[in-house]
Amino acid sequence: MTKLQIALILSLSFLTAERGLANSVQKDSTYSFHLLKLFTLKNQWLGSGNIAGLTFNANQNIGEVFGEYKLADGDSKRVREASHIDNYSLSTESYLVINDTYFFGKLAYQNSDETGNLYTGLFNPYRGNPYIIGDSIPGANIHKESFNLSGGVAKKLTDNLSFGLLADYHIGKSAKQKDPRPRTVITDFSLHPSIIIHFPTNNLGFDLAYRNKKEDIDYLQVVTNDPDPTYFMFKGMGFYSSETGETKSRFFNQNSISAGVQLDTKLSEFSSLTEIRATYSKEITEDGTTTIKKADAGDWKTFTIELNQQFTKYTQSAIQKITFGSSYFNGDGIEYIQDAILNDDNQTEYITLSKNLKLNRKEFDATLEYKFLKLYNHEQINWESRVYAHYKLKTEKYYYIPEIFNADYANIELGVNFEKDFYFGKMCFAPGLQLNYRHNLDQELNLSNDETITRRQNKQLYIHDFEYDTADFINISPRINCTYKLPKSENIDELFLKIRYEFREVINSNENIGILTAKLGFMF
Amino acid sequence: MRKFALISLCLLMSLLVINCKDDVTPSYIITVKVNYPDGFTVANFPSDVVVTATNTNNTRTTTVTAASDGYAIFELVEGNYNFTASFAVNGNDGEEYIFNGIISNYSLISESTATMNLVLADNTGGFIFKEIYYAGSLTVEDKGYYSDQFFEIYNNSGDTLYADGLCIAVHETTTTSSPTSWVDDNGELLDRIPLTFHTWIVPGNGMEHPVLPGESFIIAQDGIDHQTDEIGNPNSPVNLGNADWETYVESSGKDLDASAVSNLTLVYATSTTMYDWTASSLGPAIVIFRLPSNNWENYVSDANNFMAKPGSTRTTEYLMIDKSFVVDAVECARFDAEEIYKRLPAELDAGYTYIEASNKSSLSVRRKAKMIIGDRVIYKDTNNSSEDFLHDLTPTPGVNPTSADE
Repeated sequence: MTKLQIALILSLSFLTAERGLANSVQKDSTYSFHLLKLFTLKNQWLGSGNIAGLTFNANQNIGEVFGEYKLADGDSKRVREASHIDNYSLSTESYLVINDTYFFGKLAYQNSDETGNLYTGLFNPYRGNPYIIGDSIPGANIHKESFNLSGGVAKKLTDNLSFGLLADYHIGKSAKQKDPRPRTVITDFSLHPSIIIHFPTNNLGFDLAYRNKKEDIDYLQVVTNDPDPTYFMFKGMGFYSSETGETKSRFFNQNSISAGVQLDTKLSEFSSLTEIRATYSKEITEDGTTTIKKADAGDWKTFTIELNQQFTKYTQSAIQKITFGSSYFNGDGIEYIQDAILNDDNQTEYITLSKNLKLNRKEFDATLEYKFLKLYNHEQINWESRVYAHYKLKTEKYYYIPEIFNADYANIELGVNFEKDFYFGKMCFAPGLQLNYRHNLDQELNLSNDETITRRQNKQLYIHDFEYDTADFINISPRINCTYKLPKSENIDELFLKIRYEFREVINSNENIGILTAKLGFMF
Repeated sequence: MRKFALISLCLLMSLLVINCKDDVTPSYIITVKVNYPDGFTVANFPSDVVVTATNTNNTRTTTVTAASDGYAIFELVEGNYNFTASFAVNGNDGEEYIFNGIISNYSLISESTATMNLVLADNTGGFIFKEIYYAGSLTVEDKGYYSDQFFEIYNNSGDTLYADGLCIAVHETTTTSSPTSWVDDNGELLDRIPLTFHTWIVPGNGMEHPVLPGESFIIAQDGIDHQTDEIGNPNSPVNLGNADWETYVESSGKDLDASAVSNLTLVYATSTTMYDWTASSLGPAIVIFRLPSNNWENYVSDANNFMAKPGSTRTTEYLMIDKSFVVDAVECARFDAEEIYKRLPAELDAGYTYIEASNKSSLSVRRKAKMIIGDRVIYKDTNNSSEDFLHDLTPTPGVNPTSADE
């Protein structure tokens, strides 16, 4: 990270922290619970990628700080995911107005211990890239820590124009506690300028984004004296090459750019925000430190186009929000054919002979959601409900010329959520229940049984993950939120405790998982 | 700001078209011309010579029978290939001649022609490696155990041979996954073989250790019953308590000296820290050879018989032997790597064998039994271990198969 990036992030984070410390800033004049939820619902630009939309925020300073504990345990998981997670986190998010300049700040620290993950040295093996490195040693604890920092600023420059800038920085580290142990470090930085042109009846927004993400994995031997641990370099659909050695290094470098256009307008009694976004990304993978090899992985080039539509109606008695989101994703895995040669110094060097498309993945997602919040007198939530439907279509092909293998499926997921708020003076209790059901509509998995092909393919791993992705399941999540309202004279407005338990049962299977989340924090 | 909006719009539109498709892997025609060695005229080119192309990126093999003019035409997917051929032909003189040919790591990236120059197998019918167990085993604590490695050397001839003076060692390059540095200015393998770790010799005056036709002797790293000995490994597949020889590294002071098994004589060592003679569990290139005049002391006292590793700044001097000294050699490749770079010249071993199940698998490679005459097994020996060896077998030290393998 450059000094400029550090200065920018620190400036923004200072502003975030400053809000929490300052006594002179304007406090909210209302006496409602769920301040932040209502605040964000009132400005639908906050659900877009355009940070200049902060200028539509209510002239209100608000924020929250909370600590969270999450415990997950169960066997309904993908191979590289953990069967047991203990996660602690501390987060803060705030919105601030100073001299007609709008600020947004977010900080989050996560600390987790995971067990049950197999074949992964990556911080997040399911982030999309099929080129994953892992080892076969089970039974290890993986410790992860990460830190996220976001800072945004927006200002209305003229009556017709607003400008905004958002910067995100994420750093994460993970380490397996058993040899061969990967020490993984990720750094992720993005910069996101945007503008909004104001017209009498609507607003038109534009934004650009650049993101760079690096992931560095170094396998070490600390305790054991096994001279030959085996590393598996996966390429997609379970195909892999392997290598045995005392150490192993892998480096990922991803650059992506995106652009978005937003238009808000009024349709009948609903305010509407339409957003179209396109993102192009290329991630390269290199093995080794001094002798760089690319043939055990590939370049992962992706393209995503998204359409998001929000309709929001806000009255004294209710908030209604209809959201439609859809996205099309195309990912190409470009693999290398390389040859090792001895260079002039008699050292091994890999030269690229050619590179070709080997893996193609396409995904189409569409989600329709309706959210209704019944209000008391504009300020208090009486009850709220949400229903949604999500359709997902995914196809994956591996070009093992002359054969082509494929894995395709289509799922639909339906969900309903209800939460009722009970008020007892300064206390609010809000029990809720969420139900989700996923149904597989169609699936096809075409893999080879030819031993000469599958000898370098972990079919078991791939089939397990495919079955996870296509399994029908039902998800039940009861939860309760407790909020205590403090007097206006205090710097802290609300204290809250949120407890949620999520239980997922895979239908026609004994697999399930339970996730308990407890969140304790305050709003200021 | 209008420019910003324009840039955003242009970028959005360009992103829609930027994701141009890359091509899938193309296929090309490659013609492999198989040539007899210069001067070989006693037989016409047979019509049943099978040329095998192995894609080193995915191990898939394709075979084509060469035409009578020696041309084999393949249509193959772009990639790196090894082309091999091995066959026997009866000459006009009534002799059987065995030929091997190999083209290693050929990069097929366009339509092309390649030449495979055959090598006449120098099949003396003498000592051969019957079985090599280098993979090691896994302990109950999931650690690697390599002290149970052994090498079985067999008299494949019809004459009594003497083990006295027979040397054994491994090539300096311990893996086939990267090119060996021991090449000349043209990138060709040297005519001398560099030996690393320890080089051993069977002691004797030349007539002390007879090996009858169809008999063998076993060289163990440690001559104990690895399955039952308290310092062994219950998961080991072998009892080497009745081995003929062991490689005892006395100077280390840490090696096990099994009293029931005789020690080979150390000729030379490149390492003073190793306390066992451990061959690479990922695939050694191993040779048995005889030094000129059977006088190893004179040989190791001659500085001309040593060489530093090309391109290396290290001062280690490796013992070099001419390939003509070699009695038998086997290239054991690292199977899991995408590329296999040969260390031994085709005259010694035109192919390679391997353990597919990886190291610590308790499995060995063994030469195929070509025929069984009475109680005597004749093993296949074409100087091409791709053809001659079976792989991933349960080790059987001192035991011969009871039926032919092909």
